[in-house]
Amino acid sequence: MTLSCPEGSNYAAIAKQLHETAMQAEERISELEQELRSAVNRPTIVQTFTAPQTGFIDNLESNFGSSVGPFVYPFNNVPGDFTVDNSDDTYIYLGEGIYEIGVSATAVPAGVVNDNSIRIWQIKHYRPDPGSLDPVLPGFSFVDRTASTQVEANSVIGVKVAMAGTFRIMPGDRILFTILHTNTLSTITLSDIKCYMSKVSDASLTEVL
Amino acid sequence: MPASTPIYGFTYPCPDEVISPSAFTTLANQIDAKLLDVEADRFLALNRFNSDLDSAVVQTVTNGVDTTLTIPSSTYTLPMSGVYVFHVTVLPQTFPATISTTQATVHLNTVYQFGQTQNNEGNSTRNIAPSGPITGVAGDIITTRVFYVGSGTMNVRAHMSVKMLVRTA
Repeated sequence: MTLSCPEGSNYAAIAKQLHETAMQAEERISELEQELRSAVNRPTIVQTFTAPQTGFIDNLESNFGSSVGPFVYPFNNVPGDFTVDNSDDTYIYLGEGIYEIGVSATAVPAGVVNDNSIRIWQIKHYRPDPGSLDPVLPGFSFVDRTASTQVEANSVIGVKVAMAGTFRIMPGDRILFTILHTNTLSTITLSDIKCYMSKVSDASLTEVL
Repeated sequence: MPASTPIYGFTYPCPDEVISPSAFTTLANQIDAKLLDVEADRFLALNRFNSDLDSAVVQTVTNGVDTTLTIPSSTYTLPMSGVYVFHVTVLPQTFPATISTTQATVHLNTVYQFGQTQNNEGNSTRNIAPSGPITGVAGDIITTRVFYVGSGTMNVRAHMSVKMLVRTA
């Protein structure tokens, strides 16, 4: 801040200088506050899905989440309507880095329950690869996953999962949530679906020096 | 009548006003107070609200009853509004004669947030550990519930890790 000294009895200049002091102090403090808030508040998206997702067939790995049904944002500090999963644009916008991604849901057979049938939940990470014929996501190659396998106990309450993983993501990468089950006697209905993403770190901070 | 800056409302005299020493005092105090707020932001940037709760205290859960745990390491009151990630582990300490399934769920002011189940057929018990995000305001209470299908009762401990992702106030 640079201030010229007022001359004697130049009271208007004093008022003007206090005005400038106040404005400059505000500008400096506001910049610092925004930087600190950005350091504390990393880009984070939380989605909950407003209706059950139905009709998941046995022995077929199927996507669930943003690719299937409508959702709302209990929290989203990323400008726009990006989704955690099933989006090429989300991680183009947010950039390369380390991300924490999680999902939770409840699976209940729509009809008859196969006791001890399996539920395999996955958070899968794919990278663009035009020549790829991946059965889950053609045009992308599989990179990494976090998975949880559960066994249905036929106790009426169904199966709940709540899991998370850490992924190194490049712009254009895609995240999918999938379920594969062996309940052959009926399809599966998913409810209470919630997912989240938080950017833990920019890529530059993970370089080995 | 003094004017004020657009963001923080720092006051300054207008050119037609009589200047008194209090104008300087007021502005200095306002800037000082705002710098204390920024100091708090700096502290949060370096020391996020993270908690790790553990206790040897056990609680008895009865089969067929969705029980809210009250032991110290199973509940948390949000100190500040924001988005948090909770990782809860329920650790069975005694084992019912029969057990087919166990469920641990996490709630925000009694509203379900996320949970995990496991198949215990063969009467085997093991830790169960759901994790997920919760968006809340200061004073919101996070609780853990345990439910199992089987016989008799089961004693459990709990462990809760809390990590703040975003501050919203």
